[in-house]
Amino acid sequence: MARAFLALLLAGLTGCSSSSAEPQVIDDPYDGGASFPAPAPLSVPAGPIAMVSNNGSDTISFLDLTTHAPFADVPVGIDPVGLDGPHHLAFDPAKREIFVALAYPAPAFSPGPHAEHGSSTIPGKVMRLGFPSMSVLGVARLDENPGDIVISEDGSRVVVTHFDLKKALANPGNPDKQRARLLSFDAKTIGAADAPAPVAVDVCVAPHGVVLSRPDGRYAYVACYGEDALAIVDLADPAHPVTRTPVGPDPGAPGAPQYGPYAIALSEDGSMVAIGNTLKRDLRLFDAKTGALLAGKTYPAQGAVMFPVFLGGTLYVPVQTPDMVVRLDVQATTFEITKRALGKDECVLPHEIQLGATPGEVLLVCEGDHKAPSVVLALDGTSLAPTARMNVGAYPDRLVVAKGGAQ
Amino acid sequence: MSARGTAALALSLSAIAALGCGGTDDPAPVHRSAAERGAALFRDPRLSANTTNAFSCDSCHATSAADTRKLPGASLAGVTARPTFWGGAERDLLASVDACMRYFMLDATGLPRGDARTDALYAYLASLPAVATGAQPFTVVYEAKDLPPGDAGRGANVYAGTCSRCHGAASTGAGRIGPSSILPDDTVSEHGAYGPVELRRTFVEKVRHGGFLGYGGQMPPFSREALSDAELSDLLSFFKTY
Repeated sequence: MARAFLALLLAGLTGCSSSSAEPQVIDDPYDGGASFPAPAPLSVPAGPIAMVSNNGSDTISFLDLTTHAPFADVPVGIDPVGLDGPHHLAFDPAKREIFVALAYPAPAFSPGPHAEHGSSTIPGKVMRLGFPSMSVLGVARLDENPGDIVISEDGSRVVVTHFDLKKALANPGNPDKQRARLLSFDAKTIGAADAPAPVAVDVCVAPHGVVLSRPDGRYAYVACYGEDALAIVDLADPAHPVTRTPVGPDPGAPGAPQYGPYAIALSEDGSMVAIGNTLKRDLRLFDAKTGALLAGKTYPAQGAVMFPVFLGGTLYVPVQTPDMVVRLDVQATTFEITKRALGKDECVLPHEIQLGATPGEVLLVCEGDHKAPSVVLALDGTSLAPTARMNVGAYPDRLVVAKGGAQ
Repeated sequence: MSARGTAALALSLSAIAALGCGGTDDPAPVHRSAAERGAALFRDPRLSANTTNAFSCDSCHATSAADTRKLPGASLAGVTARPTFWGGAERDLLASVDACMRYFMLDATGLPRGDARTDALYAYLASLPAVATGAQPFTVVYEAKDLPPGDAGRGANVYAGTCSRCHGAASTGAGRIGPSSILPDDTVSEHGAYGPVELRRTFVEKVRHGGFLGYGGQMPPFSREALSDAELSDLLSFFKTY
């Protein structure tokens, strides 16, 4: 009986013990400073600046064009280990946002036995970054191998091409399947959860360089590498058939180009388009008003013609292999005004030329060896001699100038 | 006292005891600071919204010099003062955490800014000693080259200090976390057609790249700072791949 008494008593006490073992935990609120504070915005100089996308180092370099010195090198991308490949970029006219196309290139190294089994068919992305915060405002999916990205002069459209050579080679004899899309996004909502779908047009085979008519960007002029054509797209009426004008006589079949139109530039008044051919190694001019190539306006460049720039009737042209920079008079019968060869220690693989912030200055992007940091050169616009050398990241590509300053 | 009386007394005392339990003996609520909550979250796989995740921040990061584990991630003491993360690939600490959540903890959403748990994790990280406030190196070894033989005995120590926390005991997987493969047996059997060189390169690739660069999976990459080639050679010898 005493055992029963003790058992009942212990049962009660044990029950007490178990019910009070876990005190209620009250989480006090965080009362420190800002939690996970955003990185400090860029300290932007008051004068003109430029920005360059660095494919090989996943960064954007920012250049002070008053001092001709870099003032920031900012990482961009999503993958913290592999290359995102920020190919080209665009800066909105209001100077508040940067749009950068991530191309996710196939690795240029031999990764290992496992990855060799895979493919590099990774869709690209466009990142919308605040400026000067460099915070990510949105990310939108692209197709594979985004080529060029541009924004209309009024800031309303962001247009992306896809330099998809795999698609071109995988579907011989079927241009409809070889052609890659041009995507036109609403610049104000790109990357937002409720953003409208971009306008999509099967523009041509392996489209690369693109320029937009001014000011609203209604018409896109596209260098179609894979089918030797200049395509014109009406972005206000995407159902309208794409116009594809051969860039010369006897163009190659789709997927087997003979000219290889890769780079493009639009004159300041919008009347003329310059087309840089990498395979034919020449530059041709297209009259935007008549919709035809300008007869007799072919410049034999001796090398692959990359992204040129107009200054009135003058055209500055970078040429690769042999590496040089050329100044042309587009009205003259004899085009060439000045030609300057570039030494290996000066500029390797000049990719793009842009007008500088001050009259008489042009800026030349040098790709370099695609692995080590490279340079942007400031050149005298008359002699084409270098006047300044600015260090940037590896494999620099697109350069955008904010002439009036970016603040 | 009769048997009936004894039982009644016992019931009465038990009832009194139970009454006291529910009344005056309840422990007072315990207040937990945000940093204390953050410390708990740091070690809790449930920080990830993905219920299949078995890894926590603590799986890859030390928070003090007293932690002698050989981990793929840098120590986080001082992390809130650092200018960049992931070897310079990221400048936003929360985005860096989200990358860990996405790649290693299978949570695509990450931690929302301003959320109480996010704040708590930050409070904990900010409470750590500010001993390494500069950018920490994180050198990714991209090319998976074959390595010369090392020392199997040292390799056993490398395994114990580096691999076993996730993969468990060698060849049995005893104590492994979640779905981690049993080493080296699973890898050897999955690549049965490979010769010794390709098999070693597969190990090197997985250790150096983790789930990145086209491989997949939750494993983090071991940078050159986290694991030397000599240590990796020792590990390959321990795995009897030569």
